[in-house]
Amino acid sequence: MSAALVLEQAFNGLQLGMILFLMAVGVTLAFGVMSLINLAHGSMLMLGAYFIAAAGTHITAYPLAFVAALLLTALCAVALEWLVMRPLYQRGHLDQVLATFGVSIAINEAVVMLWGREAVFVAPPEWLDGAVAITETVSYPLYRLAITAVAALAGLALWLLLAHSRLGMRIRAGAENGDIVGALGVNVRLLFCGVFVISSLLAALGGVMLGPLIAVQSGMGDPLLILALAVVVIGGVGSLKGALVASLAVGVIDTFGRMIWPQLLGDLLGNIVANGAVYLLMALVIAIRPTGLYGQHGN
Amino acid sequence: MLQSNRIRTSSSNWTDTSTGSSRWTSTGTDLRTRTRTRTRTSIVNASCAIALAAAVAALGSPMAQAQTQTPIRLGFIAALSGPLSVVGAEQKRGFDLALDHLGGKLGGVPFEVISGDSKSTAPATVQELSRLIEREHVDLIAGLSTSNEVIAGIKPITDAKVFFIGMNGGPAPVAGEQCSPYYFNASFQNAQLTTGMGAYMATHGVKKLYLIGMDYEAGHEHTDAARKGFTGEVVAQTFTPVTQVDFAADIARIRASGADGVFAFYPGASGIAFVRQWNQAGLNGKIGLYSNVALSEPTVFQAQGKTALGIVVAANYFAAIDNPQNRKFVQDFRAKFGRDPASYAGLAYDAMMLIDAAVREVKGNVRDQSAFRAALKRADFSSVRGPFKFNSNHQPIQNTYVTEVDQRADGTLWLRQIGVAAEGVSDEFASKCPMK
Repeated sequence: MSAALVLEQAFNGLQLGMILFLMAVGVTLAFGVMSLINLAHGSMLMLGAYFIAAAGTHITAYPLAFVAALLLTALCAVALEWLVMRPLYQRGHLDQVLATFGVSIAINEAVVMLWGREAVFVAPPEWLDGAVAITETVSYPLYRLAITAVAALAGLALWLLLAHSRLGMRIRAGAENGDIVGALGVNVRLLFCGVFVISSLLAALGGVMLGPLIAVQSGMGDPLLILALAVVVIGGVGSLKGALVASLAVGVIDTFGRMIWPQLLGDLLGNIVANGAVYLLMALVIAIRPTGLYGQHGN
Repeated sequence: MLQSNRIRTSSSNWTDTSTGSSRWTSTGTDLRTRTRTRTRTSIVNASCAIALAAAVAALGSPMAQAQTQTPIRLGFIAALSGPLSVVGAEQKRGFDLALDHLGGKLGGVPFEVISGDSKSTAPATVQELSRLIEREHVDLIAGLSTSNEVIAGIKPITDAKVFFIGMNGGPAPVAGEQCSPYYFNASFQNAQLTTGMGAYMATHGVKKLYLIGMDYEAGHEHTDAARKGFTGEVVAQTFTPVTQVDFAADIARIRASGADGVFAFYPGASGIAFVRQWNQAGLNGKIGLYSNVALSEPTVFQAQGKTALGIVVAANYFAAIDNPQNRKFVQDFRAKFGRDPASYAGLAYDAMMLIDAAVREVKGNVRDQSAFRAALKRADFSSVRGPFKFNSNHQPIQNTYVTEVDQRADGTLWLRQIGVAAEGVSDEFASKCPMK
């Protein structure tokens, strides 16, 4: 294993980790603040990807299309929160799982009706085409670097918002005790709606950026949601720090596992271990710390 | 009285079924009224008795009369929803076009279609097959979209003694030990589709080969088949989870391995992702990318765009095959759907033409099972893929071609033939099948 390959894989692991973070942070935010389990979160990623595909055909300037796609997803998120999620906050987790799973099926089918079953094409912006020479022998696709950078910026913005703004303070307070915050004159309904839109936007951002890399078709967000759920469990449900640490850990473990395990254990067994590594890690974490790496105890 | 080509997707309601009544028209109106008033269980019993009576009556009557009697009930089952619904939808396009071309008759006799959704899962396949067999009383079934569906479906079909004509996928077990006198595979045996690619890659400059595929039945069969006949060095054979969407880590490994050729088996969405990321990693034209039609074909051309150019895929069917029946099929398909048919459509169309020929040969009497089986086995139809016949295990013997993704003047992609992978190739499992 050459140093160049290790470096390249480190970039790959980081990028996978950041995409997972965009998904996982939304899941964990919705749970932490509204106590909502949202299985329709993958649909938001899918909507982001479809909207950038649609926007890309009408708007030539990529940054404008990018913003348009996010705005459209935000509109969908507001409607979804108002129609489906709001009554669910007070219900049990099983009701939430059933309802949001239903929503994801409905959105998957709606997408088929609008765009057809076959995957649609999303072009990456031309100015991000090409590769950057990282060392003399390794070059890395510019677009993938951009994904990592944008995801990191989004994570930073979220942290600033939550830790250093008045809105963030209210959100954190709402997560601690929504009733009291409401009694103090904060509009909790609006606050929760805002949180849902933020978490949906983060997923949509992932979808917008993944559009040119993966197949944009009905149900495309679901495999990523499954991985993100594993990340959330590893990091601790409701913990933002946990989501970040677990995302990066999963990204790196998955990427390097694909290289290392087959070398150690041979093609057959190495493959099996590499493909199951994330879930083995999840099982291990649950066995040692049932609430995840940064989860709160005694819930 | 007959409602040919009527497609029903929901389960039938016995009390109002006009199909039930039209089926028994020949045995008299009184029976029909009786069946309507009974409960479902007794209807099933009664139906069996009537079916026997009808069969006896049919045997005693002149064959020509069969044409004016009961329409053949044809079950069509495919993954019309679920993750592989792209395959099912394309099969249905080929199927529908075949119905158009057959002009409302199957082998010259009236028929009706009852469809089912196999959802690309084994449980749904078994459930829908049981519904078609036990409640809809279909005379024969055609379809299925994936290998795992075929494996799940083979037992219910054989147990019920209902003929099944496969339209896509041919996993090894059902070509070998589990072969069935009621199962005819009109598509391909999985390994067969890739036969000859190993030798082709070896003779076209590939010295170090990297095999990679999706981690399920077909992924293993196709990469194993590509490995056969390859004389150079195989540097690795790896499999990725079915749900994986980011292949950056695997592509980096491939580049670092020093391979000069890659055989990748990724159908549908995974194929789109793999090809686009392969292109983005700058490997187009540097490392040869080989596969079979699963990786790059007309249903994914739109999403792959120019990133697919130059990929070399093995195919038993592609739109540019030159024969009169295929020219007609492709021309009408393009007129109706605006692009080339994928192999899923071509093979579904072919399966219908096969059934048409066999039904014609037995003059519509598909319940004479040994005669109908012999007629199917003879496969006396003009296949859009050219030469076609059945092996002793009811798997096809056919040519496999080497094609390359190319671009037309208007920018659309197509599969251009650049060679023949193997001629008249059979599968390697026939010797394990007890049928001779």
